[in-house]
Amino acid sequence: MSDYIETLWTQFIIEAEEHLELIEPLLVEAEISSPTKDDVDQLFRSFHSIKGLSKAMDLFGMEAIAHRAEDILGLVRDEVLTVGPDLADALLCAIDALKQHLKVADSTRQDQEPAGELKGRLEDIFNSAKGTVKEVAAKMPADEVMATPVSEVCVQAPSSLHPDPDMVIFFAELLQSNLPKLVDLLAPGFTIESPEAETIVYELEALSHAANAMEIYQLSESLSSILALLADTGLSNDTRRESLINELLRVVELTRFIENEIQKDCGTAPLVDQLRGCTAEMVEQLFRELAGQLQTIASSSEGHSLTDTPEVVSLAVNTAEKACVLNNHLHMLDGGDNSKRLLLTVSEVCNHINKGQAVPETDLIKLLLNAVSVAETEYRLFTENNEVHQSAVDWSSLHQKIWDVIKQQSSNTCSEELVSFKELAGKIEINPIFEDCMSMDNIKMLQQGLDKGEKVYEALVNLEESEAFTVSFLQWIETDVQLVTNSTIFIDNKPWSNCLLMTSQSEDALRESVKTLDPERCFLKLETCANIINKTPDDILVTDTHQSKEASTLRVSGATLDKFMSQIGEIVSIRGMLNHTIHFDGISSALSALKKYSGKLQNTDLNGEYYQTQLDVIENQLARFDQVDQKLHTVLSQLQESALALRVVPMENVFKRFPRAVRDLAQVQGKKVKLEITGQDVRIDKAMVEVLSDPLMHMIRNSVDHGIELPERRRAEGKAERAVVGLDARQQGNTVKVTISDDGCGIDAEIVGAKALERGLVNEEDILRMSQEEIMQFIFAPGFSTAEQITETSGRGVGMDVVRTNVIKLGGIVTVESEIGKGSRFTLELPLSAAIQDTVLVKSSGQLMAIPERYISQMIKIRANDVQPVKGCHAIVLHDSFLPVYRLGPLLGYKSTTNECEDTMVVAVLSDGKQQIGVVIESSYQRQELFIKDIHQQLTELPGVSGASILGDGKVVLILEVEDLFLLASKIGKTALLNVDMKARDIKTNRERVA
Amino acid sequence: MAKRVMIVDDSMIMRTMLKDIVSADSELEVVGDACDGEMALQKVKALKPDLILLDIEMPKMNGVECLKRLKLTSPAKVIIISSVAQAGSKMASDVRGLGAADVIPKPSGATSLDIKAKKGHEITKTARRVLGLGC
Repeated sequence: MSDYIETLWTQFIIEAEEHLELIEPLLVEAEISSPTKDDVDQLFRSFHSIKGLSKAMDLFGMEAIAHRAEDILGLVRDEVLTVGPDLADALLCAIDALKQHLKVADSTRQDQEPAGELKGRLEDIFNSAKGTVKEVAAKMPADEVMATPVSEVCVQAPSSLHPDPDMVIFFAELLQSNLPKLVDLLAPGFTIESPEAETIVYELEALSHAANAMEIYQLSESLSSILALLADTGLSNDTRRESLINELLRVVELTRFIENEIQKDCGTAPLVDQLRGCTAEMVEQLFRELAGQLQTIASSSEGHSLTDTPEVVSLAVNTAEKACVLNNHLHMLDGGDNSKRLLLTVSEVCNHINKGQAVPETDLIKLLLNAVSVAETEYRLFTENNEVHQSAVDWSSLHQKIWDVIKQQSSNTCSEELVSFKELAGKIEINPIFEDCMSMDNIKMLQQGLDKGEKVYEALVNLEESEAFTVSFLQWIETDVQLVTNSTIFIDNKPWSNCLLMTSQSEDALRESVKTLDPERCFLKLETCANIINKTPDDILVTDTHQSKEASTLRVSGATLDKFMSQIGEIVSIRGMLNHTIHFDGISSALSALKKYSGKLQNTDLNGEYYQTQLDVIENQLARFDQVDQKLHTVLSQLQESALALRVVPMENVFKRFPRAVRDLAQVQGKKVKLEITGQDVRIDKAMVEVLSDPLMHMIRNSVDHGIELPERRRAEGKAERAVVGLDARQQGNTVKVTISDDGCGIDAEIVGAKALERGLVNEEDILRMSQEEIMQFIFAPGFSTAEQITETSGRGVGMDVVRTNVIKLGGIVTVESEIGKGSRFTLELPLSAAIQDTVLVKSSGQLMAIPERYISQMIKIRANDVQPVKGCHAIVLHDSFLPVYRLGPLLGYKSTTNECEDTMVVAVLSDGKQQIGVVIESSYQRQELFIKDIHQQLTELPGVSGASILGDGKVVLILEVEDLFLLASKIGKTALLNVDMKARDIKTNRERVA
Repeated sequence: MAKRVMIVDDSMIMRTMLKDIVSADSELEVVGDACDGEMALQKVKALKPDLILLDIEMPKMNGVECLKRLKLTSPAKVIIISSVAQAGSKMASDVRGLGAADVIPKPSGATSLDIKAKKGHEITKTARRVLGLGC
């Protein structure tokens, strides 16, 4: 129980801190420019969350502050208030207060009363803004004050599909994302056992559920039938596939209705593509049959009058229907307009033949066959290229030719009828499907209605399913609307009536009555004819199809990660031992000895051959063992790499503290400063974050404090009043480069030089031959400061010295460039990881030790008699000055075991940029990259030891702390104070020498 | 079998707390959680919950939008847990109109709840009622 509460507290502190850290920079930014809508939302949400969290933890003081801040931001969100410097400042104060409360809560678990001043300030802001809301509200009629919820602000036209336009959009989105997945259903060899079946079943269930929730029951049913087909094991694969194709065509058709209704893509395209492929054969077959039937019509009617040949009449009906079916099919599959028009023409003409209004003469049939073959070619080209094909044959001229022939054939009424309909059709664009079934009376009726200003609609009605509906529908068309004509079409093998309706009612009234007639929209589908609403392509809403990525993060404590890393280090070490064992010389020599022996046994009775084979087995297995070890090595390296990646965090974690600090400091000093941060994404080792944070903070404060001038002076110098401090991080190979730049007054090398002389850091002779750059390095010397005054933040001269020490400790270097009047730039170069270090393995007093390579400026060989006693300690002459040297072992307190009389010795010259010593080591040394492990506290108390690592052969090696060595050396004797010009650059170049 | 409950809230502490309260009832099982609406929609597929406890103020996709989509993608009952939708507010009636089974405020006093208090908690009671488990 108490564990649970502890967990809650920990989480509470972390979460609240995260929120505060997230929004603080937003507010700092808001003081300069007004925040974006997203930022305001974030601010609101964070305060809202802190409020809720505090309440949950019984911290009512925090809750009160966060609540007020949330209220204020609520007003900002509603655009009653805007965030200016004053408001941002008040909110920053709120954040400070929350931080302080949080700190108290963290240590004492106690609530606190909020400070009255802050509370008052926030309340004043809120109340005065609230006042304006009321004023505005009072001026508005009451019903307008009830603001519409946010979601309805972007108004979608209400759709007949669902009263809530948002729901329609979501449904469309769902269709759009799920429908394309159904193409797998048609993949060759797909069965319910296929691996992708599970997903498909899920998608189908989801879509079916959604269609049901949207009350589009036909779609829901169709999707359920697909599920049933999949589950029906009694079906043969072919039958199932055929039924699936039909159901999917139906799904496409129904979805098309929805697409039309809401003018939005619902993801039918991939399905259509797939269906085209699957039905290609069937379509081809239909085209063939169509052509065959036309030929039969021609041949059987040749020389006969139509009355003598009833079979031609029925064949013509059948052919007309077939052309219609094909057209329907092509329509569902986006088959290209030319093909569809030609098929409709063929269908129409066949109907004319059937009615005796056209004669199937050779000329006409030839043209019709031509039309069919053009339609087929067009369709094929269209589906192959998926784009409108520029027809070689002009559709309209072919169409025209056909009708010309028919016009010639029939002289009187029918041509007049045709012409009249054409004229009408030209005016209002009626579905050509009605053309066949329009009698002269129908046309007259339509004409009269149109003259009276009535409107024309097309309605698709299913009169076979519900008796109640059919009765009320028939009543409706007798009273409210006028039925001009109707034709039957088959959708999914069910007959639907396609009705042409005419009415004087307004469209809204009509839609209303349609809704009353068929509330569930299963039997009646109303479409407006094109003369009434012209929807332009611009109306179509383009929606963002951004795919959401699941960004799940896992919070792991630093300690766990460290443990994990050290365990990996352990494995790496153990693998090293394994490798060492395999390649242990003893094994191969033992093997070859045995082999030799068994060779001798070869020709004796002692079964030498048998032993030989056994030895071969061992040898082979040993080789295999080696292979496995190599594999293990590869995998382990990868593991180590990924584990290291876990330790890295974005630079943002270091940088995020700075905007606020710069803002506060600038405000105190009356300066105007903008902090420009780049490279927050660069990642560095977690351990670096902690060590890097303070030095960077120091340097940035320095920049603002010393670098940036007061606004008046900047104006006088023709600079922008608002100074820019730049903070940039970038990765270069294995190092991270962090630069802090400012456009302030720069550092005057002459003043630096003078100060250095004054403090006795350099003598006059030396300073004359030093370059400006070299002189500049004095600012890193201990106790150095050029500031005239000691201020709250800087000028005490302890800063840059600490910066340099920290940076070197991390294995990096720091440099400075500056130009008077233009500004300064500090550059830190740091290794990516502090956990793995380049070291040099050395031996002294029989003990193996590792010295971090960055401290070694060079390795030299000397003769024993080069060492001279100087002022009570031993020293050698190096670069014209004395370098004190010590034996490493004795320096650390080990007994000296080396032979005093040896002739040559190896000296490692150690330097931290301020002082240097030489340590004598035993001659063998090698470079080694080591994974540093923390050691037990008792061990760290050993002087000169900072950590340990394990070598490949399992040996433990101590890693030396060079700073400690300097201390030890100064206790015994001396260290050589370095001229500051022996600086990091030398260390770097010398490092290459070591390598 | 215990009813499956999913928790959607951007605050980890809130999720922990809600989970703790709900889990006190042996007939309710917390099967998963999500920290925003988008993730909730993704997870609902696999988790197939009977009940979703949904926050309103969340990043990426807020609770209202999530609720509308959930209605299409899941048969689960939804209880809105938010201080934004106080009883009688417009937001409360809005979300009810969108199909939320009930609207209740966020829990408080997490540190002082004992097992008995959790079992008798408003959230547990509401969840049981919505799922038809009886009191």
